[in-house]
Amino acid sequence: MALEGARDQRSLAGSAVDWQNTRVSEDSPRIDPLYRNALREAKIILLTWAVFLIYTVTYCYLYGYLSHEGTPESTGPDIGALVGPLSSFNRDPASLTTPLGLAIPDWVFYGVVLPWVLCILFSLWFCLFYFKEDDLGSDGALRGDGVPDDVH
Amino acid sequence: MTSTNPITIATFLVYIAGVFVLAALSHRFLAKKEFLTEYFLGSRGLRSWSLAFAFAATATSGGSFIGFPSLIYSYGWILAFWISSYLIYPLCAMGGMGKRLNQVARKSGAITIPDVLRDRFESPALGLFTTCTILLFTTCNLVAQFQAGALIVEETFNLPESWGYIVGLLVFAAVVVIYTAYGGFRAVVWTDVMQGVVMAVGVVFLLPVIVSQVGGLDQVVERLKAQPPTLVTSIPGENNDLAFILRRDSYQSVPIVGLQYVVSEATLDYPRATLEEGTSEQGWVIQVELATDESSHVLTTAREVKETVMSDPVLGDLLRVELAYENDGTREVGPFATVHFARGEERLFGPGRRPDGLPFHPLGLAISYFLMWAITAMGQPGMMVRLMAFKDSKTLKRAMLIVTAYFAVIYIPLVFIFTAARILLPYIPPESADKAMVLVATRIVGNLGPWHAVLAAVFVAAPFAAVMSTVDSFLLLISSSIVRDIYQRSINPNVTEKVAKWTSYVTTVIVGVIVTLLATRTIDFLQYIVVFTSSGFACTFLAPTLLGIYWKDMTREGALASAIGGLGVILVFFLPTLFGGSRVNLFGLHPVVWGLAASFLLGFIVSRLTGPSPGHLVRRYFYVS
Repeated sequence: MALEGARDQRSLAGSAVDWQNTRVSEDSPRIDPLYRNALREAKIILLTWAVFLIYTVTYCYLYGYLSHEGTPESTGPDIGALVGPLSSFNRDPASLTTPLGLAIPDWVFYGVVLPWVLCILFSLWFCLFYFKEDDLGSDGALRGDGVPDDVH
Repeated sequence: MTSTNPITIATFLVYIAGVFVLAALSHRFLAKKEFLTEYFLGSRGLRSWSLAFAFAATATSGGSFIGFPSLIYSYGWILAFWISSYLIYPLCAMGGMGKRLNQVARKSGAITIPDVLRDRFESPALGLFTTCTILLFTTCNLVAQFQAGALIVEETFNLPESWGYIVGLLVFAAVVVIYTAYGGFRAVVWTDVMQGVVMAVGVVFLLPVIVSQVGGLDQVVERLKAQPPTLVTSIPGENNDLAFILRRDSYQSVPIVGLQYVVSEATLDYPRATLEEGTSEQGWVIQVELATDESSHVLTTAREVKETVMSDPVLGDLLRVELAYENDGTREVGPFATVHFARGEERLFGPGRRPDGLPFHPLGLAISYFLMWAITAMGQPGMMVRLMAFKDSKTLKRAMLIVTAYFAVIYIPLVFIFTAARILLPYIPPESADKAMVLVATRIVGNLGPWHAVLAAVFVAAPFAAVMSTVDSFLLLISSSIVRDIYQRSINPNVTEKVAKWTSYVTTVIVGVIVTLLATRTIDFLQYIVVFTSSGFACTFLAPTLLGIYWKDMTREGALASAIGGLGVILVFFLPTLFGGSRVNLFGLHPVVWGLAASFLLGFIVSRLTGPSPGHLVRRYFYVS
């Protein structure tokens, strides 16, 4: 707790905020724990999204496309040009397989279905073990007529 | 013409009646609670299943059940890749800022997203700007959703083509506007739960029926591969409903890639078809010269095109021409363009071939769409307002898990079903592609027997439910923007409960009527409208909201610059579409990538330049005393 308090004070002092003569002292406000938890959770989610983006897009693009030509409609060079010639990855239609006999093309199975299952497992872990059940606080809107202070 | 089974129609009507019952029940709550908070936010009392289904049903719009199937039907398995970021959509859209947004909304007493932004930054200008943006994009989206609803009613009741769409539109509009206006947010959420269940049940049962009709799992891929090349789409326009199918034994030797209608320089009494080399970079093009009158109006009908091509000794051996779905071929064809053939096996791989021959899903767009579905979902006001309405953190946690599982059940089977549907209904023309879901349900499943007719009604109700659940939340979004953000907070702060109530009812109805009038003109590929409006919302709302709740140093000037800059980029990049061109995909990336980049960058830079943030706001939203 003491460590947390010290970190909160540092964060407060380091923020580019006009404190209007508020001194950073013992009785300064403490960082909202919900804000801190939510920010940490959001970072994990963003990182997970990036991992799935890299895997799914890379796998499906390399192993699921008949041809890897650029897109002439682009304004400027195509992004595919940045990673070199990709024609060696062009799929031969005869090479298509359907894993587990599910009638789902192999590249969809490994590039989309499998990560989808993994993401469900990750979500289970995230929600059951990582996500904090913070108190959301009281409802300003329900204190009277549902209109914030500045309206009256 | 195949008619719809009466059992299907009866079951569908029972579903509609159920919606009205829920609206009547929820109306009782309006009398017991503070009106605006109850009408627009359900008094912040959503539980796990309500939140999950309200969220999922709003996310699975008419685009998901009408536009998405039509794209699958046209392009095949590449749509699994196209939609793949839905695997992490619930975590991003709900977990990314749900808990924090709910807390900030509670602290400020906000009912709408413009409310949140206005209070967080103490900026009426930002509140009004975002309200106007909601009015603009929600209206666009509602028009597309109303069209989808009208198409479903038209096909379900098998109404005549001449007036079926208008009647379908009026019926759909009446149902959805009445129950939304009467029941408010709680009615919308309850019907969302029912609709969410209907959607899942529809998809889960449709899957085995389709597999069985195709001849088993092992037949799906083989029969798709064996399909001969067909036009991806017919020539743009309402009267070009012919299917051109290359004969499998001929297309290997003659590389025909496209079809082109042209007006002959000499006036012809009858169309003439030839094979032209060199008009396309990729091979031969079938060119059909059309007969015209002295004013250059096309006189050639679809049936005449078919007879001309089929009677030609060379072309008749290379391909066959079919009158597409429910078409008698008596209308004149036109206008003129070159369109390309796609082989059956192309629908099993990427990148898909567009009618103009270009790739449907190149790498740049693949990256963009992965960003777009998951990340832009966080920036949709219709979603965010649901995140302001749940009861506690545990509710959010459970709802995330439910939605994650729910999307897995919905989306992969949808791709499977409509890729296979092409085997069963091979010639749906593009102008009717948005009817693919309903046609599969009513024309294939509904005619297999009495029980299947009931199932067909559930399948038809699934897209109908998807459209309704999106429309009702958008109707409330737009009326809340007018009543709360414009009328109460900018014109008459001392509005009485009674006036607020009637203003809300009347506004919801008026908005519904205006959108109905705008939707009388039909558009192709509903999904593209959904993409445009989603992009606009995300680029306007995501950065100011996300930075506003997570970054202490965000200033009101930064938030305003972020919202205006993001919206500006989207409008500029989509501007060419107003003049018949294509949107600007700079470096192959979708405009939403640039819009979001500009929005976040402007928010950051302008906040740094105009800081520091007012201390009382930072204390209020980031600290506990």
